[in-house]
Amino acid sequence: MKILAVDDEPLFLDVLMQLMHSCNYHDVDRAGSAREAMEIIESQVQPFDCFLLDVQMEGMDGIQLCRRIRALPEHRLTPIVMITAMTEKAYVDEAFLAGANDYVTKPLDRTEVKVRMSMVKSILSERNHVKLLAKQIARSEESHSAARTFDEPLILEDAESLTPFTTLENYLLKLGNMRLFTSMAVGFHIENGGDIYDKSSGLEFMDIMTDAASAIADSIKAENYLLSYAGSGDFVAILPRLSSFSATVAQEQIEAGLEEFRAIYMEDGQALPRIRVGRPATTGLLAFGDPTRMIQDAISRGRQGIPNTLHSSERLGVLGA
Amino acid sequence: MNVGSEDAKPDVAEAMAGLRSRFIDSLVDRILHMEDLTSELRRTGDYTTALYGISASAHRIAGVAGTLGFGALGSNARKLEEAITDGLAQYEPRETFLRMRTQLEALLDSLEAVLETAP
Repeated sequence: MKILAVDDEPLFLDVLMQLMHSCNYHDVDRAGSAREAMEIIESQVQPFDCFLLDVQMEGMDGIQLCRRIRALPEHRLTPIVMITAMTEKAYVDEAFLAGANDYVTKPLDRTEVKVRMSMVKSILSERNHVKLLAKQIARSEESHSAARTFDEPLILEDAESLTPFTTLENYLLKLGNMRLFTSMAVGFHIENGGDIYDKSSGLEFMDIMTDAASAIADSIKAENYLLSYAGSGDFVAILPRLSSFSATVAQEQIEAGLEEFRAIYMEDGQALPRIRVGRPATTGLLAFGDPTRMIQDAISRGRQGIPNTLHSSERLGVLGA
Repeated sequence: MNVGSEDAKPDVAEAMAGLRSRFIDSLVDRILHMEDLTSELRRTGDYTTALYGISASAHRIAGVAGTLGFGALGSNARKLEEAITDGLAQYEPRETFLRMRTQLEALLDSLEAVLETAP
């Protein structure tokens, strides 16, 4: 795995390099600033597989650098792990929104670094799976159904608003209880996702999911949110609990957004995705269970959609789990 | 990685010991840098520049010290960094400088303690 580590403290970089070597990661380059990192990245023939970025650096900081790296087409899906001090947790949200996949805290501990690098490997494996799939599709559209099952999370290369599902889970696992309390998860379920999958080639299915992701993203009015495809026709968004999200309004906007594609879908003999929006799922302040349960709750609610019998305030509401 | 990690391999421990020595060797320069910043402050009255400089130095020490096993030093560096960041969010630079002197002295004491016990 080819890794670039970026930190403006040379001694810390030495320590990090030593640590990476001790964990059997030997192909590690280093940069002492964000600017130097960009120069190194742009000069590579073989792109990096992973970035380790210090959050707080003089000049361009790690979050800005993360955003710059994500803007490069070849690194839209490359795992980025932020290195931060505990006191910089306020930056964590910003880092995830800038496209980071995970973070590790200083002082570094080898065990935690090993765990984080395992996550990196799983993202790389997911990304490689998508690349392999694309190659297979190029050879034969029919190969998709054998290559990937309907219930697997997908990385949709063309859906810019989408983040890998593992990153969404990481994000929730990293939030403290108070911060988890201030977030909510919303599930979006494609009712006819199974039918679309059965009747489409791999490429067509990914295109339709990308259209669905785009319509969902447009319906989320929060400024800061994360959206992922969880597989089985389920999308999940994490957004601030106090945002003005309304499941009913979102449902209407998604339908209106997809309606614009109707003629194209009909021409291609494809069914438009029918998307249900669930009521937001939240967690209690004193709930100490698995934070990712909120995702499962959101998926369940997305599959149920908005019950017609609910009072309008409940349909709009953020009433909690 | 804390140097004292139980799973550290012998060659890793040796390499980390070398990095610890280099860190200790760097401490005098780090202390002098902070003293330069405060001298410059006395000369120019530019509290903001001095505070950002001291905060950046503290941040760098904090990042390395804890990882190399100098927990108290790392903790004091982090407290100073926080005092400056929080102070600047609430007070004028001069007031922030006056309020963070306790943390600055604690950090300098920790730096001296590490130097005194260094082999």
